[in-house]
Amino acid sequence: MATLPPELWQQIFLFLPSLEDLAQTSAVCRLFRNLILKEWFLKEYSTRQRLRFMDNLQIWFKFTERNNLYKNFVSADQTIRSRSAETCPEVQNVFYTDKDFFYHLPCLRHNNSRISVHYELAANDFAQWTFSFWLIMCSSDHLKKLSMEFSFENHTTLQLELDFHTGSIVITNTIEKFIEQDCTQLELDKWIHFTLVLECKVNENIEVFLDGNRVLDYPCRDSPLPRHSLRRWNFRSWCYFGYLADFCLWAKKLANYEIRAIAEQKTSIDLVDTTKSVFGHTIQ
Amino acid sequence: MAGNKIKLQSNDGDTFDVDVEIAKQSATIKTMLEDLGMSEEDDVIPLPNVNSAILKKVIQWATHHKDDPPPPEDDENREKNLSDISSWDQDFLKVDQGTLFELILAANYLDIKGLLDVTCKTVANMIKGRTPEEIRRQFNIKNDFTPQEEEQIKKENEWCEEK
Repeated sequence: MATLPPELWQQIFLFLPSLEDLAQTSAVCRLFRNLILKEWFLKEYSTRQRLRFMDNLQIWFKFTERNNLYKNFVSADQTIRSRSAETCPEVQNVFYTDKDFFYHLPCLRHNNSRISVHYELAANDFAQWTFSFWLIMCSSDHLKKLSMEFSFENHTTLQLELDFHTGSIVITNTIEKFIEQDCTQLELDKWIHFTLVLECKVNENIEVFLDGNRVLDYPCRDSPLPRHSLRRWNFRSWCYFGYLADFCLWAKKLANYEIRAIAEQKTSIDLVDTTKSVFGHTIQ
Repeated sequence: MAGNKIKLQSNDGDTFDVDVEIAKQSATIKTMLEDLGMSEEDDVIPLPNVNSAILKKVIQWATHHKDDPPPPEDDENREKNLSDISSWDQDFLKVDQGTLFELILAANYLDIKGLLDVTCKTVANMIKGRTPEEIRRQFNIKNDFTPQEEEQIKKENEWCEEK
């Protein structure tokens, strides 16, 4: 049987759809491992992987350019109402003890303000959603709460509240509170990366990640989570003093390592390199 | 010019009459024709790296794809175009593994980007979702790691098992 020269195996590996596949392949034999753990190969692979990562990104809201949203943006109606939310603010250096901590400007500054963003999502059958953003809740805030709301096809809603005062995450459906989870990771005056993964329809499940670590995993069979597609997405936040950055909504479930990579790399979504996050330490 | 034919000769001596436009999907042949001025009708282009069974397949593929738009330059669109394999190509590539590998080698030698991509993608699909042991069996590869190395790699790859 014909065998392939190494460079053609590399051509093949570039088409492997996920980093799991690449990792499994690197465990096959020495040749494969050497071919994969080459810096240039991983660089080339990460270019493609980044495109896959951005795949099905429905909303990417960067606050600077209201009308220049990511090209897959599907909203028909989007409004921002706020009393004094400023777009593109200067982040006050008081929150930066380490200058290199987070490069992610601009962000949205809450200054005794309320934001309400409403998106109508195109009708579709996506059953998995991932929603993520960065936030700082400042200790000078009175309430120290951030809440958000999702609406489903049958008009039921799901509300999620991050309560920094009590250190808890509270999830409520239209009628009842059904999750209240203590969460010590909700620290004030610190950038935190928040991720919510919603699986609707078949396997209802809610997962919450803070700084890339899963803090809540709630299987909701026979649960208040509606068996419907997500149709509307309302984000409302009330907050006296805090910052938000890089809202993203994907119509897919991000892998754990992808969520971890966003939190670890502390950069905007288009620059996140998941390949580096997984293979960075093994490069030859 | 439309309708012009050239002759391609495989390494086992068979010659094939092929439309110039179809043959030019091979960047290698295109370069030969343009740079070396091999445009006379009775010129025969020898292809020492391709046998006639494979050359026949390649010509069949190139004939089917003769009206395809050229592959996009930028990676983004290339990725999108290739995320799926057309059903014609899927049928075309229902061949044994040896033939598939020979097609990859021929596509690489003849520099036919579309054929190379689709064949590589097909092999990638044979790897996708498999464990290392399954991949070894699929391609008849020997595990040449020491037990210690294997243990180490397994540890490094533990994140793959996360749910």
